[in-house]
Amino acid sequence: MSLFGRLNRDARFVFDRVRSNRRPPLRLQAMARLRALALFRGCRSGEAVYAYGPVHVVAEGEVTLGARVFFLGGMIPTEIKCFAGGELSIGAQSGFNYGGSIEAHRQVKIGSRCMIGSMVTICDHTADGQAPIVIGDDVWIAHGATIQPGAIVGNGSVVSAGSVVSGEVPPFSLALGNPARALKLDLVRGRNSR
Amino acid sequence: MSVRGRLWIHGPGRLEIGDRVVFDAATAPIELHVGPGAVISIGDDVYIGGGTSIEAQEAITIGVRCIIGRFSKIIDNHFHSVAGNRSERPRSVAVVIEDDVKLGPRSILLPGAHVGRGTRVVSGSVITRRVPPHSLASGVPAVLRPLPEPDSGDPSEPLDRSDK
Repeated sequence: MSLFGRLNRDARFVFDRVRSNRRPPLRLQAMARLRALALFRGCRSGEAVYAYGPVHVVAEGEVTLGARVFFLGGMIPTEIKCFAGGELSIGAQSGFNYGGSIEAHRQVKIGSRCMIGSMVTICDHTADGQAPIVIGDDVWIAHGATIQPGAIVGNGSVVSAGSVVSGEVPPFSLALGNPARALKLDLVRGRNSR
Repeated sequence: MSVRGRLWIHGPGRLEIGDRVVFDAATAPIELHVGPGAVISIGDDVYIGGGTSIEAQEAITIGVRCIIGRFSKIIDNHFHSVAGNRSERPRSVAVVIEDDVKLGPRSILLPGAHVGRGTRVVSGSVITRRVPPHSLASGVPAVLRPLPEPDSGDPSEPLDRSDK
């Protein structure tokens, strides 16, 4: 089997395993660890960062990764870009699903234990200018959401699928819609199936 | 069935694909994830665009002659709880797409979505509930209105100009 075919097979395996909350086998963990070491060389990186799938890294600015940050594999590579003069920091144990795009031209801060879903766009730069993005701890950003310059997402909040966030999301709330509005998470508790 | 590009099928569940289904994955791979005991059923003459991901933990049904735009996401489980323990999986709610539905590019169908026959979903919309037949769904979350009659000759039908 070609190297590509083999990596691809491994990616599927890890994807199924991580989705089902089981630990991937040691061999794949070791490969993911090595890939992360190669990708984030020269960055300030905590211990045990794992890249289970393809990640495109541009680290011209200052990139800081916490311990046990992980990138899942999938159909589409994840992009982590920090341009010259920019500052990108990702807290410990945060995880990224496939196809996301994180771009820091000035400052993007992502807290600890965040879950960044597939195809999420976080970019602090538009044609109108730049503004820092701050994402708190324990935030879940669901599939396809867009985080725009100047957005501040509070601790423990959830950004629902496809939402566009450009303002402030208070802690422990659910942001949904385009443009996003925030609901208290207490009010949506028990409606998890929706 | 014809496949352009890579089609990524994984998971132990059951996958049913009708006749003349087109998987147009030339730009980005298409993912079909069928969880344990789950069923994905795709009807005849369905077109699925590249980058689309369909993930079933219970059941996802796609009717005949549907068009699924590129980079769409169809899931019947959120995989994480909104509040409380995030690693806990909530229950699944089956997703149904009836016949002749057109989903625009980047549309997202979340658990409980039931898109009625002949409905058009504008690109980038998010659907979480039942959409009546022959309606036009647009926005996040989707706003529903009746679809103009097909014979009205209305030139401003939104999905006709989309790139599938």
